[in-house]
Amino acid sequence: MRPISLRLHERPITQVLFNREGDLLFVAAKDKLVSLWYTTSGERIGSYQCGGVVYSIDVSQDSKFLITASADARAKVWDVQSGRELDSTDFEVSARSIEFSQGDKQILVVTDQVMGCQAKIHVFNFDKDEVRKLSLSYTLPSPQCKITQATWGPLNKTIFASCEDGAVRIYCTEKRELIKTILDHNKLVTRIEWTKHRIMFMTCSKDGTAKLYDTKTLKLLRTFDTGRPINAAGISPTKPHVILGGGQSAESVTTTKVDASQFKVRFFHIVYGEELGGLIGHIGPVHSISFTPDGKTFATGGEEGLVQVNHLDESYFEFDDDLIYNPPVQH
Amino acid sequence: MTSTTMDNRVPIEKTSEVIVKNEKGEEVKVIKRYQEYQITVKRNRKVDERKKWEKFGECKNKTGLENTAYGDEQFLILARGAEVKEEEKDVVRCRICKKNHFTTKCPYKDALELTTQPQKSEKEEKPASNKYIAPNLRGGYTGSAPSGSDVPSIMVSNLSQNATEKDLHELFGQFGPVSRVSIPKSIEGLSKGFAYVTYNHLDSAEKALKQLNGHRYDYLVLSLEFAKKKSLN
Repeated sequence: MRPISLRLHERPITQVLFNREGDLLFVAAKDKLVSLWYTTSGERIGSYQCGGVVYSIDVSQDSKFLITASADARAKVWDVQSGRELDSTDFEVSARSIEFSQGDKQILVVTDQVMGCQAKIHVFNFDKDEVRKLSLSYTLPSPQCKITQATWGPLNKTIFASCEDGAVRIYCTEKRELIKTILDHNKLVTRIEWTKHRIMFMTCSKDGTAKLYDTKTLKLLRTFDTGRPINAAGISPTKPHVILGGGQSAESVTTTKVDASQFKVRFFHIVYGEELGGLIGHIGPVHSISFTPDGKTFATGGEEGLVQVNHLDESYFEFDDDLIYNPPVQH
Repeated sequence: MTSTTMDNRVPIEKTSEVIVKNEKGEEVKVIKRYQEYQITVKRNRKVDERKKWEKFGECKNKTGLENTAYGDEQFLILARGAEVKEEEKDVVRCRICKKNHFTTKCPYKDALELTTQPQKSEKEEKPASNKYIAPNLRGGYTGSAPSGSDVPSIMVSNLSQNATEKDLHELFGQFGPVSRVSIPKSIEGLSKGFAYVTYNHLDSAEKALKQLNGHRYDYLVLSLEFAKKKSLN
């Protein structure tokens, strides 16, 4: 396996994202730039210049629209192919997280809790065929603490928000109110990652653990303890593996012991919860991990601005083959 | 994205007949037999369309590969059941129980300190007078020579460089309990070719001197003598 290194961004990577087919890779970074690459060759197609630090991006299912949330308090809609800006919405404070709903008809935007403003989740309607403009539908009640990420639940019936106080708050989109709070983590929850079809989800936290839950019952299924802050997780869509990335945060590097091995991305078995191995490559904390939908490639983005695209070898797919969850065969 | 499948693994036999003129001008029929495999490649039309996209923004009229680097070959080794151990040994080591935590946080601290403390206090009681005593003469510090015993050390010279302290313990232990073996070493960590051995009793020292002087050890002949006592003042 020869990882492809993309060294364009000069500041920390905030998100790496594949489109639905996995042939395009979007990279958002704190240098106010979102770049677009071909996954197979590592060739850059273009970039989208935002006005502030880009915290979060998402791409529509048909790979035509890119949405960005940035620190210049704007959420923007871009045309992927031409790099043109289609629409922009202003907020009072910086936008932290953005995501298309399933079906691309709505967009949620999370705004920060700063300057006396409460953290809020705004839901916009988006008509991708004709108007291509954002129109505010509703705003959910604030949880009174900073939200790091919000994501749509199955069938867009719920919105899951990961919060700074270690809670995962679940909102009902119909009643537009808080319906459930999961309080398992002690520290900030950095990310919520879905498995394929959103049957399970995984929360990553600064307290050094990642937890896997069943979406329907919200039962805690598995805890992965790494002993260091976890910023990102990638769940393989084809193999029973989880990749966890993280490491000491940049501000505490000078005050604590750091070696390069703590920034490696680590493979865990999703059923047994044991560590399988790791890959060393980054020299700073890993901020984002993403798998292609075919499970053959994954990308990681780190604090040092490096993005690595790993096309997994044949030998990886031969490993553990008896444990793939195949649907039961009926005779 | 794209997937290749061998749709029909059974080859289709085909023949072609061509009539060619050979060197003599005769007409010859050449029959070629060959096998044909049918391969179906599934491609995503949208992905293929996207591959033809023109570059935009900063990347216009560029190859797009300016910031791309192909890294060295990496091997992802996955193993189940094998614990992946952290390389964090010897960073913090407890002075009391030699385990991986700070000395102040040692759980055996109280238990082990009780056994060592009475010895310490005895030593401290000795210099009771107000007179200045040089640091090397104070009770706590014994220096290189063992204190409290009149048994002189034996200097072993012409010693092989391969001999370790454990070897000498074995060799000299035959004649009585050995209290100390030291092999002076150079900066490179090599033995200087001699050693000091101290016995608990004078008898065993004399016995060893008699027996081992001229003893063949490794490939050298040892020579033993009583070490001159260090004059401390």
